[in-house]
Amino acid sequence: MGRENEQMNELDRLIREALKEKPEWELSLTFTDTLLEKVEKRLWWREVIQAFAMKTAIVVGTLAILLVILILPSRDTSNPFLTLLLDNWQLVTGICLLVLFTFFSDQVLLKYFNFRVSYQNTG
Amino acid sequence: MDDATLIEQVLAGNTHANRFLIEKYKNLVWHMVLRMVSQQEDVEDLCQEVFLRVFKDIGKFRGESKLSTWIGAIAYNMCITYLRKKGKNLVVPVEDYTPVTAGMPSEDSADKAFDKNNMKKIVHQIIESLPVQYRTVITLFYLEELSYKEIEEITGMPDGTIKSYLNRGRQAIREGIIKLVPDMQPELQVTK
Repeated sequence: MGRENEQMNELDRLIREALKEKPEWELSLTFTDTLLEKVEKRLWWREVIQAFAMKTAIVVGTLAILLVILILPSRDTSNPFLTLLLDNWQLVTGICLLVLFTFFSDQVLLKYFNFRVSYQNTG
Repeated sequence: MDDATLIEQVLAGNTHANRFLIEKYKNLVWHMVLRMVSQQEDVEDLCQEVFLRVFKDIGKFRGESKLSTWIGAIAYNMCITYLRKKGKNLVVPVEDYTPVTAGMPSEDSADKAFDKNNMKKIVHQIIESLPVQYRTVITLFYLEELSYKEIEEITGMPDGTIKSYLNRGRQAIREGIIKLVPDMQPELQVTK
């Protein structure tokens, strides 16, 4: 791109020279490395969380469909399966949370610790 | 490596491409942030935030402008947001601005010869004291040697405003220098 054919005069030269002077301080020498580490960690988190969310959504979605198939055809309140779930809702919720936590630990936390160890070993 | 290949490699997760992108554009980002944000302790953090945003949004880059101007625009917008959060007044008409010359070395106050380095220091300090928009436009024009169109893409300011900021900023610097070094007056005629 042209510089609009602007003639550089003394003032322009002074401004340019002043700006091109090395500043009193610069970015730290570790700037790029620190930034790369942050970028990689963020990308890694994003990938792992996305994968976890997708797997969870698939499992929960499948379970929800199964439940609907089992419960909806007979809207009878005496459905034994529905009654069992409703009577033990605290236990069912607890089991669901435990399964979710185990899944999270396996899919996210374990991977994170492995990632940290491998990063420290290579870095 | 051209910009298209670089983006392709970054999106593919190539760590070397990430490093290459940072190394290629860190001076542009640093110069912009340094001139716009005077708080030294915040400059490095802000530069990092700019690059984190670049890596987050690089998939959205459509190639309608140069990668450098796209990154520059991110840096500019993040600095503006930072300055707004800090409660800085961003719209200061240069007519209301008086160059800050107090405490700067002047021709008669110095025992030693009024050399080139002193002059650079003076110009630098006057630029530092200019309102942020003027400082930014001057930095992009003189230091990064960008065209008006590229500055327009980065700052979103219309072409006329950029030219106006540049001329008024130049005028303010000129007045600041003349105030301190009256002998410089004949040399500092603005020619186009």
